[in-house]
Amino acid sequence: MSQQQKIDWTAMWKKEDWWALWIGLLIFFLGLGPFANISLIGWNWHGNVWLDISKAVSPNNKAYEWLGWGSVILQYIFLLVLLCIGAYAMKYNVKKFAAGFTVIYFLTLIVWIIGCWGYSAAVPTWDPNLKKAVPKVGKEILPFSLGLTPEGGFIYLLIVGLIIRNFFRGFAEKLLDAARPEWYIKTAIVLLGTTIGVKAAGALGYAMTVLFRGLCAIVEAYLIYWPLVYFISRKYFKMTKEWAAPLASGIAVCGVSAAIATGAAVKSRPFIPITLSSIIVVFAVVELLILPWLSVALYPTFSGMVMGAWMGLAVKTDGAAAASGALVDALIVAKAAGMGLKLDKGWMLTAAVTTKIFIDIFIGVWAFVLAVIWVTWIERKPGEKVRKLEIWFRFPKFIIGYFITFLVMLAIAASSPAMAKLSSAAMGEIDPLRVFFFALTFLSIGLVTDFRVFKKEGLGKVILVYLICLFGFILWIGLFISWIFFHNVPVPLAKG
Amino acid sequence: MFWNLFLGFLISKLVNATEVKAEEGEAYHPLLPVEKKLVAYSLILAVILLVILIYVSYTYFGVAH
Repeated sequence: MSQQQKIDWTAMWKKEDWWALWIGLLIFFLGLGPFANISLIGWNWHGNVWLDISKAVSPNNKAYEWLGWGSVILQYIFLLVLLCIGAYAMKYNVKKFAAGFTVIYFLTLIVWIIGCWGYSAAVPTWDPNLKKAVPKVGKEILPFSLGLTPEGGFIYLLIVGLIIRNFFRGFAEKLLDAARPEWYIKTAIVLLGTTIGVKAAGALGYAMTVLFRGLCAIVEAYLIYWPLVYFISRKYFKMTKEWAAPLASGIAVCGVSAAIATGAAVKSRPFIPITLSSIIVVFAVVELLILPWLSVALYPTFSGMVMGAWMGLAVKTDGAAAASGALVDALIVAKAAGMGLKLDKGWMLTAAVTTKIFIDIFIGVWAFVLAVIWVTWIERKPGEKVRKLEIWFRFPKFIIGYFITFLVMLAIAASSPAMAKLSSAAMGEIDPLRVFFFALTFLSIGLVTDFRVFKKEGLGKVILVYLICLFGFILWIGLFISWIFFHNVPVPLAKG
Repeated sequence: MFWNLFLGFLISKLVNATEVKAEEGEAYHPLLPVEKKLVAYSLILAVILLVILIYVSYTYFGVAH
């Protein structure tokens, strides 16, 4: 940390973080077409709840309806070109990336369409004639449905990814060059700023409350979780400082990036945060498989916003946290619909992502604080100083993109009713791509999650600390803090 | 006290059952007083901040639709 470092400008085209920002912003600006009365990306497809598979996919803007399933090919080429440019700049193997992405793209498409099947996706809604809640697709009443909404496709994608990774390893290896969950989710979060900005304009006071309370809740990650995990791993598990500090950050703060930043701050040997990362990723998936369902079971005892914020606080890694938030959002909206409540979609996801983003923002500050403490008091290296620039190095850059899209859309949509209408149209252009990046994330998370890590020799102690801390107090303190800040923040009802 | 004993027992049983080669490298030293302070001060600060933030949240960021 103390070495004289200059700002490495090449990071702007060599890091996934920056590429998530560039791609997210490009799509965002293309999505602003409706302000000039044109639709530049309205040909992107979205999935429909279907019984007749020919109607499963349609272009997002009716002006492109003539494209039909052609919109799938168009979107594939569009994303392939964009991502390959990024992959080339980051010096990935572009051929392998393109081949892997092709398989991942079409696999995601197929699984997503399966998730949109009426018997899986149709949500029971109240029928005044039958006087009970029944699942419907159009006017057709179904005898049953899982009621998972189209977002149930996320669950299928994760499961398919996990099966491929853990049972078809040879095939999975070929896809790994393009299985980039962090890149995809960061791009999706940049795009999510658009949706939240437009929604916030319609409910400014509410949105500010969610943002501020999301910020408040992160106190817990840094100042409660971290010291407890550090203390337990040092005192009871006899871990050395170079293991305990990054492990505490990995479990308590924000998974992989926090473990790596802390490892650098306390001068751990490089393999330590990398080893920890493999465990963090697997545990994040375990959480992703369990917590959304637990949240749905706990609703309405705990409100939807409590559940959303809980996902942001409890689930580690950006991908898994945002993915959990998306699932909770979809599943609770579906459950509420069965109870006769039509909740506005997206707010629970907003709570999860807001909390996660604020946690991310402080990783750099936290790494800086730890570096100062280590140099000054723990390792005691006189004369060694920590540069404040480290905070910027550790700052997750995609968050800049999120705030740009959020603030621009908020400012435009809040300026006049006419602008609000155009902003909604722009949001409609961008949203299918945001959802698709989420879908790519779910499949990619599955593809990179190798459960063999649990068998790895020598990691028993680390896994044990993780298990005890996660299920011993992290989940429950997280739930309690989320409840403190969000229990009186109801999910808004959908308009119309 | 009970918690400490229970946790100590549990951990000794479970850790012995797994190989822990990950620790090779830096030697273990018990918690330094400064580390204990770091943990304690963090927790105290967390409680203070939580009280302040709850007050600010409920006073200035009430729920509005």
